[in-house]
Amino acid sequence: MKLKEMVELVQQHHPELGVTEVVKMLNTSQEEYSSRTRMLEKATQFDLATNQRYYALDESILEIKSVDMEGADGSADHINIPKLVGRPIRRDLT
Amino acid sequence: MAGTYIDNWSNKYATNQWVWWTERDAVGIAKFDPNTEKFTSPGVENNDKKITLFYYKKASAFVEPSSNDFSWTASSEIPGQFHDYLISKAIALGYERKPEQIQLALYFHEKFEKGVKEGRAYAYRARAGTVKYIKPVDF
Repeated sequence: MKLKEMVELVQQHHPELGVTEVVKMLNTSQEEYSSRTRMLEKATQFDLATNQRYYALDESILEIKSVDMEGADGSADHINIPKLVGRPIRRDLT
Repeated sequence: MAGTYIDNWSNKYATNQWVWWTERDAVGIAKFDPNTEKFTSPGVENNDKKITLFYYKKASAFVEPSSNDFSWTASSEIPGQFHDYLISKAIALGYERKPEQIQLALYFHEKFEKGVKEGRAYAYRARAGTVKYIKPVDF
């Protein structure tokens, strides 16, 4: 269904609402729906950098399912690396 | 020794391994040595190694009409069979502004909740009819 059709269906109930308002409501709806159903999955890649421990996450990421690292076992393969339970005892901000 | 493997980078036996965690809106990646409980950040030898994150994401928002990128033909990333539920939530939000029609807001909220249940079942089947991996949770 295209946006135009979605807006028109909402406006059938609320003809007093402008397009911008309806689009905002549809965005609220989409965000809640995708957050609660965990329906949309994606993968992204970035490169490790020397001495950099933390890599910022895009705000669209709800939850990380798994992480693969190139050569984590010394081979050229992309290997799944485990999630640490908790956080490092010795902290830093690098 | 349990947990020991050959680390080909250093070409010797090692007991440490790469791990990840999340903190302050970032993902942390370091090599962890369980014996010393020490974490080591990626070194020069790890520079440019590819990291792949697999994740659940929020749906991309529709562009508002005030933007030049606005398009009436845009469509949601959420599969089409669930679009009615998205519309139901928007309708419910509209009725919440009208106290005299609050019952209609409840009706459309319930419809949305039904859609959430169906959506979770759809995500659980992972579109292939197979069971999806469920992450264990400690309580």
